Amino acid sequence: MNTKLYFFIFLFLLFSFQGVEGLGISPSKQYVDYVPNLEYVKTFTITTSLDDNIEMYAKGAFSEFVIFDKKEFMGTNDVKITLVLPDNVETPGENVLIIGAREKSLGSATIAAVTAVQIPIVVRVPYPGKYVEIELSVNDVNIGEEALFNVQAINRGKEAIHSNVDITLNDLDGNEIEKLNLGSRSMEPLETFNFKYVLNTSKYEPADYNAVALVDYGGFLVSDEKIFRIGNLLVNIVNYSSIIVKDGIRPYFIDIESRWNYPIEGVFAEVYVSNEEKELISFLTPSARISSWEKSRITGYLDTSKLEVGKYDSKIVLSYGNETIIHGELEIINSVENNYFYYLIFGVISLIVIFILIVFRKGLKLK
Amino acid sequence: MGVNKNIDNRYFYISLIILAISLVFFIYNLTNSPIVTGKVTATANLTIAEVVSVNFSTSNITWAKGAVTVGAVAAQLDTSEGTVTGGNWTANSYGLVLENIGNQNVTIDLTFGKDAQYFIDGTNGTNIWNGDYRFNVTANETNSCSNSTTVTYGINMSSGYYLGRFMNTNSSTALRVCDNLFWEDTKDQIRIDLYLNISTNSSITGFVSDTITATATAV
Repeated sequence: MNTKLYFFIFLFLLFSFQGVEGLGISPSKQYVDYVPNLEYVKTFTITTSLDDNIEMYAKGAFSEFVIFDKKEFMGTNDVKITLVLPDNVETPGENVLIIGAREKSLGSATIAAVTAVQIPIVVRVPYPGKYVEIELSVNDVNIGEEALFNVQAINRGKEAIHSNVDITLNDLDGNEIEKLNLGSRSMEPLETFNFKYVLNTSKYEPADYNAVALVDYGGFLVSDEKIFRIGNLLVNIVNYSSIIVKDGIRPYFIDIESRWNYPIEGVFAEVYVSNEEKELISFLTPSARISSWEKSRITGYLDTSKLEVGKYDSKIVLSYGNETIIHGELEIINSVENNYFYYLIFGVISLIVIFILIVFRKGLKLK
Repeated sequence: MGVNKNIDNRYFYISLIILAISLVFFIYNLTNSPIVTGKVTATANLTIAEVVSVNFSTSNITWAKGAVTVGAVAAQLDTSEGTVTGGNWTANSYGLVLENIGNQNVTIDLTFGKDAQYFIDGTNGTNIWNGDYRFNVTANETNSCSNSTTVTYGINMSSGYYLGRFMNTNSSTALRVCDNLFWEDTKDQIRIDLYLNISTNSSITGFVSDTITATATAV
């Protein structure tokens, strides 16, 4: 290897280590629960190239109470902000403070573009009186497994509350299946509590359910709902090719949908084409892997040269450790017939347009 | 042969210098990085920080020196078309390309330092004599930018802006041009193109410039 090659290798390595710098701020979005006179201190890392001149700023709620340990600097730096919240706030709910860093303009070109990056600090101010926020979460399961319901309740009011939590399970038509009680509890302002319920799904039908959580806190109600699924080892065939143009070997599509909460390996189909008398042709699709609850398409190939134009019976046997079988129809059509169909549509549309133009022209002449 | 040997030596010495510089950077980075020497069994803990970061991979537009052609009413400079008509400026087809290089989706707001009046003595009217300074944002990769409500790509941002629509620049207000600029590498770029209509009526001469600020905010 000669020295020229070394030279270029070194050049390559040198520049390989130069990443795209841009302008960055980390960490991202922050949440703070308001407490009178709370001193909130946070350090942000500002990343940029060595020669970039950066300016820090604050805007939005409480920006006048923000103190930066440095406001201008060059290159990557850590910046500490101190926010001392006031002893009284008139605006309950989420008050958003923006912390930003921006490049100071160099302005050497006709149009120069610079960047600024911002993160929100969301200060959650308690509501007067009683106010609760909730979030329901639940995992999809297979039949016989345990579904874990979690209702996270946060008291965002200024008063203590006593909350009682229920979950109603409905089918997707809205019919009530069962009501679960997750208990009750007193909660102080700003307190968060997770109400949990473990449901054994053995006695339920595999299906989609709508879970509605309802929290009653002293006569006030708040609700949240989620769809959750109880699966079984089933892959549905939701669609398949029913018309194929006679033109050598043609793709045959089968759209499938898993109802199982785990991935399934080795899913394949065998397709049989027959007329009233006998089976004429069959073919296999390649085997595929589908993720839990996934909608997917598997493709086989049909040799249409062995079939005449006409209607046939089709049978699809989908195998995946279980079997789904459906019977349908398959029509083999001539490609010319197919084109005639489009010519017909085109012709009809053309006639309509010509008719409208004639009517429009006559209308103008009459005026 | 002797000349070739001298050249080879020169490359060799330059290579050594570059290697030395590389090592300095390497050691500098090494000493400024946390040293990992802790020995653990069975468990590995890793925290990936959330980073909001953007970069202009193309950050300048220059049309060089030029003038409106004698006899023409105005000249049009358009980076989206890469054309200059009615003038002798150098055409520019690059536009400004902004990339989300962090690991968070961000909103993008654009702020211009000048409007048409202060940049080229224009008024952004419909008459060609008026002079225009406009911009147009497009997704530089398929589905880079969606709105915040229905996650529809490119249309109806919360500000009312649509991708691919030329708008007058405004120096007093930031405009939300993208509610969600994604961080995934296949869809994390937008492009900002500019259109200038410079009228012979313009009283501004000499070097003129403007600065565009793209502000990325964590969603």
